[in-house]
Amino acid sequence: MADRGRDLKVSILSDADRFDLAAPADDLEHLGDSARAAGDDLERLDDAGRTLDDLGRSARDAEEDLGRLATSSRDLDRVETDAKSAGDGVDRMAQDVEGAAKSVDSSFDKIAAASKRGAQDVDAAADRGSDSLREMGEEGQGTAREMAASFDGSADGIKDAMQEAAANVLAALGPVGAAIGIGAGVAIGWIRGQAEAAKEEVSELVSTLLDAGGRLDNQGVLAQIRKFAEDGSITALAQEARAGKVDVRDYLRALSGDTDALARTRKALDDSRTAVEAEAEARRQAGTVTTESAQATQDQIIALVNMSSNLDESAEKWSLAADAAEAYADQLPAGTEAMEAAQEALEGFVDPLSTYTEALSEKEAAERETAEKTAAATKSQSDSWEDYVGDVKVSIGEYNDALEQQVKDQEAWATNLATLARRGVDEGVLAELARLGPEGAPLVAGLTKASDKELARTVDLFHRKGKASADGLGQGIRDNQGSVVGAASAARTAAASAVSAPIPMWVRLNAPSPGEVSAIRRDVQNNLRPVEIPVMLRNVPTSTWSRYIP
Amino acid sequence: MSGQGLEAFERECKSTARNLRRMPADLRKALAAQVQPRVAVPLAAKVAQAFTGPWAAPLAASTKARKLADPTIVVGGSRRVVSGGASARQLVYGATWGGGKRVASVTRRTRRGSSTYRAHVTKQFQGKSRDNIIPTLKAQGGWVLEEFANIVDEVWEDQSG
Repeated sequence: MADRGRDLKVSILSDADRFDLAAPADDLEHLGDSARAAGDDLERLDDAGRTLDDLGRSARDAEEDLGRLATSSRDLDRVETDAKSAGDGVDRMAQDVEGAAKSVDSSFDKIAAASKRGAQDVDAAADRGSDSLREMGEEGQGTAREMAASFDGSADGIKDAMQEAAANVLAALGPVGAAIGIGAGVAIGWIRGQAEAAKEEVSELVSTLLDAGGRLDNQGVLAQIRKFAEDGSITALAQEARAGKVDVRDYLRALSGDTDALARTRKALDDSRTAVEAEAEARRQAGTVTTESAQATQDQIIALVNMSSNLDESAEKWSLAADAAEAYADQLPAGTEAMEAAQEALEGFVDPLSTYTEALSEKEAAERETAEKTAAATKSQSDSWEDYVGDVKVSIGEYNDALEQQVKDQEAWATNLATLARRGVDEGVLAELARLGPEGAPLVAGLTKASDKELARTVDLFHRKGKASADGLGQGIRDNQGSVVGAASAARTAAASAVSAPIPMWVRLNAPSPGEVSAIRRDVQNNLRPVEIPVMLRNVPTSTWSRYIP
Repeated sequence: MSGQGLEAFERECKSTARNLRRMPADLRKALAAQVQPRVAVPLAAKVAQAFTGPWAAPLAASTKARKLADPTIVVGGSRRVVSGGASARQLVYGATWGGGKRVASVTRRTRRGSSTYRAHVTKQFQGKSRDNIIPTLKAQGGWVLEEFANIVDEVWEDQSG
């Protein structure tokens, strides 16, 4: 037998018209089951999401929370897998239907038939299924038009097209598609929202505690209570307290960080609960339990448990904030000490003023002597040295002005360096500027006022000329800017080395701790809002300061 | 309404397939290297598993995945796979859709009962035909398209660096 003909070859995309892409909607009964299963999965997902409430309460241990987040992600994956398998099941149903191209119409027939049978659940599924079909049809049409208009044949275009195509396939699964797409998206968004809100809240409490010196006084507590009034939650809280037979003022104060009120409220809650249970027990023994009384008892106990839970949550937040504030206070002495050392060095930095003054006095004397000689050398008997020393007086004033400016520049030196760092000057150039010491202070001040273009040019020149020629370059720039700077003296060189030291120290003072850096990295990786970064470094590239972190 | 949308979607799939053939060879090969193991091979396994009837075993053994950017499976080959000397290529069409010019009534049993219809039959491929290929591919369409989209995404990210 001659072996003629060709193999049976099927390419999914090329032969797409041979497949019934509407088949998933063919068997609505099965779709209803799938939808119910997906709904159950979503409920489980919701449960998993609720467990992430703890995320806010356990900001102290972000690792643990992230672990839970991962667990939730696995749950999401499982839901997606379940939904996919449900979708496969829907597809398999289509195998038994002849004339698959008619399946869309026949599905509507089945909807009608199911309605007649009065099967409520199938009706619901039918509604969802028909919505799904309509949506798929409209989306498919719109997408096709959009893609046909914008398709450029590139791989990027293909990627977009296929993502659209995949989205349409998911949309075709109706409720199952919703389980994959909407359910997961909403859940993830909700989880992230919870985490962010909790983090913001704790951060705010830390600031409050720091302002209050580590412990809230009466005014601080009242300020917190005022917030309840401002956001409108005070009425509900008061009702809760009254329902639980707890002092309203104590309850509000307990939620606002008053530890004494917290203890009193907890005790009152325990007493209330004991009393409610005792009353219920008495009714039970007396045989006077009614449906209403049982319901009332249950409501009271639920209210008490809710209040207790609120108190726990609030106490946890305040405890976290107190820990953070305490840690800050612990670090404060070291920071202050370092800052004082830096200040001392800066004070030493301006010593050259006296050197300048002395030098200028000497110069004035020298000028005067020269003037006297000049006056003596003239033939006129009426002139004196003062006729020839006017320029010297002006010159002294200029020198003094220049020196005053230099002192100001030196005082603003560290701040100016930080400004340059924020403007993107790299670490190498910053180190070079620091190495220039007091001589470089006017240069640093001048650079902060330079345009972006000029600053970039300077940075480029620093790189090109290298470390060895930086002094000369600095002098050139200073001359161009018209600054009056004298030659470097030995004293100023010594001061320069003294002042260079505080640079890393200053950066350390203002840089985040290693723990904060880890938290920032984790948060950025998880697309959450970064924790508070010291104000001075917020706009400084990480590469500028991260190397100073031990 | 829905039909038009589906047709548009099918046209877009075919257009995408055409553009796959036009794209730079390097990119196409990179796609094919991922598509074959992640899509075509599992899909071929599903089809092989679905064969029924007297030629199920040789047809299953003759179902292969091609290394192409468009997920492709092939059933066939010129190698003799049955004792009579027929190749898979000679078996696959008849076993799947019947064969010959003789038209006869055949009865097909389904879960909802049975239906009688007329089909081309020969002595060799008489009785009901067993189209196990297309329905299997239909059933797998969802994940195939989704996985293909993922692969395109990944490969594009790799290539665009």
